[in-house]
Amino acid sequence: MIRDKIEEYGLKQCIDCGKCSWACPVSHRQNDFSPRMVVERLLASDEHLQSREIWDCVTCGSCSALCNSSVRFHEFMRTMRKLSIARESPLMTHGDIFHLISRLSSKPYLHPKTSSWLASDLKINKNSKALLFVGCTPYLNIIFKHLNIDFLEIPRAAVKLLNAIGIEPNILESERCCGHDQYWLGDDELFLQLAELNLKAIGLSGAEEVIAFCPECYSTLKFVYPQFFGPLDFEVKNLTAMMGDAVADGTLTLEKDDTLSTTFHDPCRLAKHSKIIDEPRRILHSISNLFEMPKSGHTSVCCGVACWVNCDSWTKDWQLERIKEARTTGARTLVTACPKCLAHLSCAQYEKNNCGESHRFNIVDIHVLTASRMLFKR
Amino acid sequence: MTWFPRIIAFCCNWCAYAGADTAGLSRFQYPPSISILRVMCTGRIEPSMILKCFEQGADGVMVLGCHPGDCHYISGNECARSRIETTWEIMEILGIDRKRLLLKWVSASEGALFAETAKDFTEVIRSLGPLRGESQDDQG
Repeated sequence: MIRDKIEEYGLKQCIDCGKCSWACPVSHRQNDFSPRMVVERLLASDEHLQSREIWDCVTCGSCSALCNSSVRFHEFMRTMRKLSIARESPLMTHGDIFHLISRLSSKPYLHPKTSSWLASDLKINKNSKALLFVGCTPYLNIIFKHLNIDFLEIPRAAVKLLNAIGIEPNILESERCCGHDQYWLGDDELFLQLAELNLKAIGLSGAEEVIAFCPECYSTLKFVYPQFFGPLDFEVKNLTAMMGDAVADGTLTLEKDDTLSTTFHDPCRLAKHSKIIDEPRRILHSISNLFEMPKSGHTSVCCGVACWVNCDSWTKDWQLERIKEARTTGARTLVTACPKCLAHLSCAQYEKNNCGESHRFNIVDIHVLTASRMLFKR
Repeated sequence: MTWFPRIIAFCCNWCAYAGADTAGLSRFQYPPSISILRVMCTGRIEPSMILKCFEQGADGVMVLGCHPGDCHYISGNECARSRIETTWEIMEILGIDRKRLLLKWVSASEGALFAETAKDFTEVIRSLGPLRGESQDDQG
């Protein structure tokens, strides 16, 4: 079985150059893990992967993005998870609550409420052909209450931005988890249940385009759903990319604040899985002075945890290192486009501050920041 | 087959579990819908444990601990309160009626209160109906 997959994901094309080991954020911290090492060992011997290695990978795709021989290592790792998931499971963070939420939201007899965060100044149209996919951000707001971040500002900002470019989006009455985590954890059964319910609900809403502000929802809807269900009846768009385009063609006018200095942390699902790199930068250039971190764009590093597994003290170190990298660019604000990156990076700071160090770096979501710099045409 | 509520009761070792014992010793009757799970302290109960009960087919969950100020571990029940509040918020979004989760303080001597709580909560769940809605076939 593994041999077929080695063939399928192009592992035999590996030329042993080592670019992946340079890019892999895990191999920087763990001497005994690197994509190249795993590939070489699998090719040279009949040895199987150790289950720890399978879960060490954060599936960020840094290795595949740089690979000269088009080895799809992160997808290979996902398949390995799929094949071995019954045997051993990884350490689930937050008491496994996110998976239970996904699991419960896959029950057809429950009807999760998607739009409890709506405010009166936000324009929603039930007959609109554009649909805003909200994702798990409302749950983050509850579970990460202690971080003092208003996660609900993100979907609010999303509606505000869409309204500004003349779109009054629809929001599903009952939206399920997009299934991103289940897909990347190799739990295809649950993923398919979630995806089917979502596709049915989107189909009934009559939406022609689905807009997701979360890069994970976007990459899952855009690239993973068609893998299982064939071409979709609707177009999937990313809000960050849409805003970038709107800034370029002048539909969205933003006010520049010269005192604002920012740097952008590329979420892996946005930069590496979806190749959206220039658009967020275009937005940030038009509202602030943008400084680049050495590791940015398609060589950016992951925020430390993917799919809510294996969060420990060295992930925290890794996150703090990322914040330090942001600080050394001279920027005063770290901007990211993914609610999960926001939670993870803020959490690292929160824990550090609890240990006595007390200067917090400002971390914000790009949509919230953009919405606050909007100029209204009167 | 008629439906009967299935309820999980998390009881802390020092108060509510002993309270349940008192209820039994004093021959107070309460419905058989309650399945008791003993924990050392209610502060140990994470939101995910409660969600797991619902996911596995429970219709209601009770968390019973020591009265405020009486916690064997000083403030475990205060932790429990804030965690239950978090769980209520999550349940609200998920579309699970918050009445399906009950937090109550029952001391070791309050056997009658334990039996009464079990009875009342079973009635509440009975009036709400099964969590799974109408389809009961696959409840197992």
